[in-house]
Amino acid sequence: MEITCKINNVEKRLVFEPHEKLLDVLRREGYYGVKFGCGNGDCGACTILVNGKAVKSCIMFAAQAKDKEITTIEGLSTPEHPHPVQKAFVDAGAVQCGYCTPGMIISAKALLDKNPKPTEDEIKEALEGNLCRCTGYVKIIDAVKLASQRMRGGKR
Amino acid sequence: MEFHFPTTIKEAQEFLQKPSTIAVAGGTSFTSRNVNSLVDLTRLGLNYIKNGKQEIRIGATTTITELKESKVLNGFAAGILPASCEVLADTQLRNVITIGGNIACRYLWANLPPALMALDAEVEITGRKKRTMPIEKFFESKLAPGEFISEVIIPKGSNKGSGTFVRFARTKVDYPLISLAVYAEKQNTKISLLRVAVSGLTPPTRIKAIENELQGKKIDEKILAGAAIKAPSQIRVLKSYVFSEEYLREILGVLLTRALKKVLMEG
Repeated sequence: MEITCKINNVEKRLVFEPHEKLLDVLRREGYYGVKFGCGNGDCGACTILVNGKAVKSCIMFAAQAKDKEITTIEGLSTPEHPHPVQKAFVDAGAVQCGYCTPGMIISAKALLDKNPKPTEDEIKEALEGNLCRCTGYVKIIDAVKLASQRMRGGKR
Repeated sequence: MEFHFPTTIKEAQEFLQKPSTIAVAGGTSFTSRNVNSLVDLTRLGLNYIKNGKQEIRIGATTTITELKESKVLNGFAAGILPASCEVLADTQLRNVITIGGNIACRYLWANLPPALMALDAEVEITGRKKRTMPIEKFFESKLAPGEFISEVIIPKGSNKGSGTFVRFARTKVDYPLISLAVYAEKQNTKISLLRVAVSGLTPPTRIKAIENELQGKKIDEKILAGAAIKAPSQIRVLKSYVFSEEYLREILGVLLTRALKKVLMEG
């Protein structure tokens, strides 16, 4: 089957089998920033934005993306000009192996787009669907706080 | 396999009449079965929370995030329904799971059914004809081919009292072992109406025995605790490979005591 959707602001035509998951189709199309972690909707490594909302692409049919606007980590920035959330993750040392990072950043972006000044509890809630097996979350939460500060124009 | 995107209720219902067809809303609960076609229900305009005079009508494909953030529902019956949404799965899943799907999948651990039972909600089912049934009845009946849940209706009368939702699980994102919802109305020092619903350790069900026992009784800590301790023996507890039946009954008794006290004696 065939659908059209917008991926990272580009109109796309996707061709796939009706049973295929969006994660697999995105990776086949070259969006390798969308990671395969558990394939069960538990770990959040495959998190993307669909119409601005964070969702897990491993637990979604590719067909469900019909006429939707999708943002993957690739759509946030260029290597020369990282997104403030990406920059904050680097500066706060919120990365270790890096596998969960794209999903974490997408979840953090979804939060900050909706709520520019989240409390620590709100940050934890926004990231509760993203598992990290290395860092212990402290620095990840620090990074989101830092990004929030910078995006609101505060210096640090 | 085929994937259909109906845009009218009639179209959806025609697709769903065909054999080996499954409806998809959020799509998170789909397990591989022998399926010929899938029908997306999210493009039928069933995404709304309508605050009417007599009732609140919630479209079946309204997401858990939307319920959780709804001002109308947060101000209704002490926010039992949003409270049950807050502890459901995680952020990304709440963005896609729908109220209709959470009911239709008939999961033991689904949070919404007990909360909706406590609110005396009804489920509207659309097929060739529309029919409406109390949510308890939904769990005792089956959908015919071509039928799907189209709306959940909460009577405004359920805003007279107060309520609470309690979830017991090992971790925040684990499936709950017990989901408990209590709704009560008081008249002076007596209980004038009580609805208690539970799921997780048993399929979603009202605990009528405790409702009947406490109806019209004086609000008194001892009376509440006495009824709450007895109540778990009045339901069927399913086998769990993690916890013993005795343990689950004990915990349910404790949670029930706390919930009744909170709803009837505090605030």
